[in-house]
Amino acid sequence: MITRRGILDKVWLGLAVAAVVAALAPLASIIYYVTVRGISAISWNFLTHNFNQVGNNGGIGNALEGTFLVVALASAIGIPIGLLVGVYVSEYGTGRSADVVRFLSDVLVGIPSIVTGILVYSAVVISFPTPYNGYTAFAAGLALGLMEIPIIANTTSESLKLVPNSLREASAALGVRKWRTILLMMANSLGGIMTGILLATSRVAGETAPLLLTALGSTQSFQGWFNSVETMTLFIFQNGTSGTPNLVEQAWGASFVLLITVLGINIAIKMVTRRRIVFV
Amino acid sequence: MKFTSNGVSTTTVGLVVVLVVVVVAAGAYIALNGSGSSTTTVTVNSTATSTVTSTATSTATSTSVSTATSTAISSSTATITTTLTTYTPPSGKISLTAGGSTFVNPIMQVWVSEYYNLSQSNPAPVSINYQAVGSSLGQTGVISGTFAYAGSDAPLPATALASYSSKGPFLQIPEALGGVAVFYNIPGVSTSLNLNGAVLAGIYNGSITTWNDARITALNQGVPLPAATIVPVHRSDGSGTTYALTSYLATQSSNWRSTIGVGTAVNWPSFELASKGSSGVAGTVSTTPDSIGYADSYYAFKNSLVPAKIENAAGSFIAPSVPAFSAAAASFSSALSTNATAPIVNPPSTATTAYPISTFTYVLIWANQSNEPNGWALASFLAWVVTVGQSYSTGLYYAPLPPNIVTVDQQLIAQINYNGQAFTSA
Amino acid sequence: MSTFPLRRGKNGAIADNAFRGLVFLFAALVPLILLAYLFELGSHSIPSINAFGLSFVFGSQWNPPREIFQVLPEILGTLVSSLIAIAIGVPISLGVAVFLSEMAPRGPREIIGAVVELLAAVPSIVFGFWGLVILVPQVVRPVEGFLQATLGFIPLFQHAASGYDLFAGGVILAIMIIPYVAAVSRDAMLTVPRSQLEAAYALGGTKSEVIRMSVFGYARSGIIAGVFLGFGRAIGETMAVTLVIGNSLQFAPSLFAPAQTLASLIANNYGETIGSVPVAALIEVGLVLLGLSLLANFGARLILRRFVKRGAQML
Repeated sequence: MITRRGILDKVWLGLAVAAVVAALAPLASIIYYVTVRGISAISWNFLTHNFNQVGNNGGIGNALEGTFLVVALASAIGIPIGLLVGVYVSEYGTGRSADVVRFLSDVLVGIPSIVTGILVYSAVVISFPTPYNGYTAFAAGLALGLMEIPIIANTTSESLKLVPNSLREASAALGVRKWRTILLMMANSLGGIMTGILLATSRVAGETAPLLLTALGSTQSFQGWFNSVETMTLFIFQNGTSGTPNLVEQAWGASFVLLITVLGINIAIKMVTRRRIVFV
Repeated sequence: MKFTSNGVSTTTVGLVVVLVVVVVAAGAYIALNGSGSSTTTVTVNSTATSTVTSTATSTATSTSVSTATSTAISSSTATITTTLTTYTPPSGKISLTAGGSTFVNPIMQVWVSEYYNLSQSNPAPVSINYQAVGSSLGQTGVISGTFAYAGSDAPLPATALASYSSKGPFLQIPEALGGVAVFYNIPGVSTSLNLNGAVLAGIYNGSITTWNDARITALNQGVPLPAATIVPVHRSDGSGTTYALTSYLATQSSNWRSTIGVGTAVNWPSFELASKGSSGVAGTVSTTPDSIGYADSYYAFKNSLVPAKIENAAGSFIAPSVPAFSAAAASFSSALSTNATAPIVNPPSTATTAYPISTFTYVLIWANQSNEPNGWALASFLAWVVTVGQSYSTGLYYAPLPPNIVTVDQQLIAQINYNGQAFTSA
Repeated sequence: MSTFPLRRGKNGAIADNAFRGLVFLFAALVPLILLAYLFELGSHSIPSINAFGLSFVFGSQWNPPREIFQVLPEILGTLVSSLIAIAIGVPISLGVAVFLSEMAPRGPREIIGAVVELLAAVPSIVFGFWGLVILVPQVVRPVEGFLQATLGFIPLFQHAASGYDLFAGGVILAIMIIPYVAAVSRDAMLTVPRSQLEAAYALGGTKSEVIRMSVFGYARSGIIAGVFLGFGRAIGETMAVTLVIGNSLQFAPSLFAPAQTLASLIANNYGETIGSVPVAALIEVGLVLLGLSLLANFGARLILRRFVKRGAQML
């Protein structure tokens, strides 16, 4: 029986499907264009030459190097601190304080990345300009590290909370020290912790705004931690806005490399852990 | 909670393996590439390399200058023997960061890369990272010490210079000579439009709104200008190119002078688009129909955008070109002899072939350097730039520096010192 | 938390205490970092606060050469572009959430949900670059042309539509907030007790009626929290917006006028400030942005904590 309500029902449900299509279309478009326009730019030259806007043979060599190193520094800062903050929230905090730390950590996640960039710019780049080079890879790594800390802290605490209490109690009964117990628990929830680390890393690898104010960009390969540095995201920004066809093509190529890396990590995590994770 | 914990399972092992593989691969990649390929071979469409040797032996200036200032290059690939002072830097690479003008970026990248190649066989090779972040950012960078030097198409005003004098003299050294091209993207129009200062001012201040406005068609009989709304594009960041353009427009329109004014950033009308950097403006114009923009002429040619011909004081419509820039500079030679940072926009009517929106672009640098090897590297680099480096100009749509400016530059470079000890002498 | 007998013996106690100390130290970093943001940005803004006071946020002139710094146009640009993002993005997100929580069969549900979440993984510069080169010329400009042709009598649609404007900024922000709003809404919807749904069906409701009345009603707080979070995310976005919003220093009340947000202002003008007041003004822009995003995020988190049981892992 066809009723008005029945038709309305179908219309509403159809709208929901349309919404899903509308949400997926941009992703499909991005992947399509990045792949189609980016692949043609990839070549051995492209992967090894440095960022160069004059002449036709620039490449992402120093950008790849820079992204890797800056993200490595960010992780060196973010992982230890994030892990232990997560441990605190899950294992050490008394009810109230753990809640507060967790809440503040959530708030830190939501701070815009450009504000993190301004913080490091204000506190490090212009306050301590190392002679002749104020924009440094160190400042860039510090900014990204600050962003990683709350992400890793949150995943770690959530993962640790899943470990059944029986394990803690058994460990205590056996007289094992708390810190060893915690290490055991972390090994036990390695999946969740690794997931968090990989997600935080891929998230900061895709950041640009804080790097504008800290890394500056470079046409040279890595010159040390107290020199400016190029990253994949800066490369895409600098070349993508130029309008010169050759440079725009390079930007697509860099987007391709960055996107398959970041999406690849995310897809691998989803397939492996079957866990729903959204950075909020 | 809805999910289950995984425990140490194949999944986690898999993730760890992935991470380790990524780390090892990246490490291997970096190890293999090292710091070797830090420069690319720049192919410049001129006989740049072949003229290196010839200009090295002849003095680049018409007045006889002692060889203490020129960097003699024995061959186009080998050593620089700087006949500078007796200072020899400790061995090891010198890395410097500089930034500023996008106007000078094309030739600056060539200079930086060539100089790095040339200095490879020295004990102290010089590697400079120049980032085109806009003249304003360059100025603040060099003043605050985050940049070793800045590129800027806008010199600092005298008042600002005075306030920084406590740190010693602040040098503003003309390094290249070029012109601001005005280009557009009008569907159906592929020829070079004739424009003059009044029309350009009208477009950018909003009094001329459509392409087929009578004032534009009057200058361009027979060109099929559409009845479309003009979309002007300007710089979103502080720009010496903006400074040059607005300086020119101020000489052409009293309304412009009193309302929008001159500067690296001005109060543009709200309906205009803005983009970061010269390349950003060129990019926006190429993708936005009916738009008009301005940038160093290199960007127009590189993006296949047709530059307009601007009417000069003599009444001729001149396209941006190397001889036209040189003519503009030549017409101001007496003003430049007293002030190397004098503007060269709007040349007098005696300069019949001059391009009206020509401009020098400057290196800004502190005379008193706080680090001896760096100061030495900067002085040698700049000495090379204003002499041998000028041979790269014409291939990139810049005019070589006039000889009297080179002399002035060498005198300025001779002020670069460490603890009072200069690195070059002029 | 379970109880832990800390043995008072020497062996192991030192390591235990050292570990404990380290954990407490690092945990203290979290509030310290937040304080560092407020303190560093606040103290470095003081010269500008002294110079401009409230006119910083109520005035409309950003003029570095004359050292006048006022950001009302950018505040308006930020708020309006984010509101456009909410207006476009929230309905889509709700549709996605409804689809994933109530409509989709189990198999496709996981995959589609995962794919929507991938949208959050795309780097923002890639969004911006794609927006600049693909979305605006191919989608936004034709849409604007159409809107102007049909609704051009409304001042809101009356500007010369180049495509790089407030509307484009809002559209790209809408796309970027979809995964967040959808995730939170979906979790909120999944907490609706089956008994509610069964009761609504028993009363004869069609699927969409049940959803609209029961699910939305019950999950309302969670959805609102999601909207706040999406809003907070939108205000802070920099790169995607800078590349498509036109970068005008004035705010015109038209969707098709170029605009600027607080974040894009910083990206365009960072470092072009010398002297204590201009540098302070730039940092004050960051402070204002921080304040706005803290408001949005605080609000969202508070609502989330009180009303929504955590479903997916929301980090």
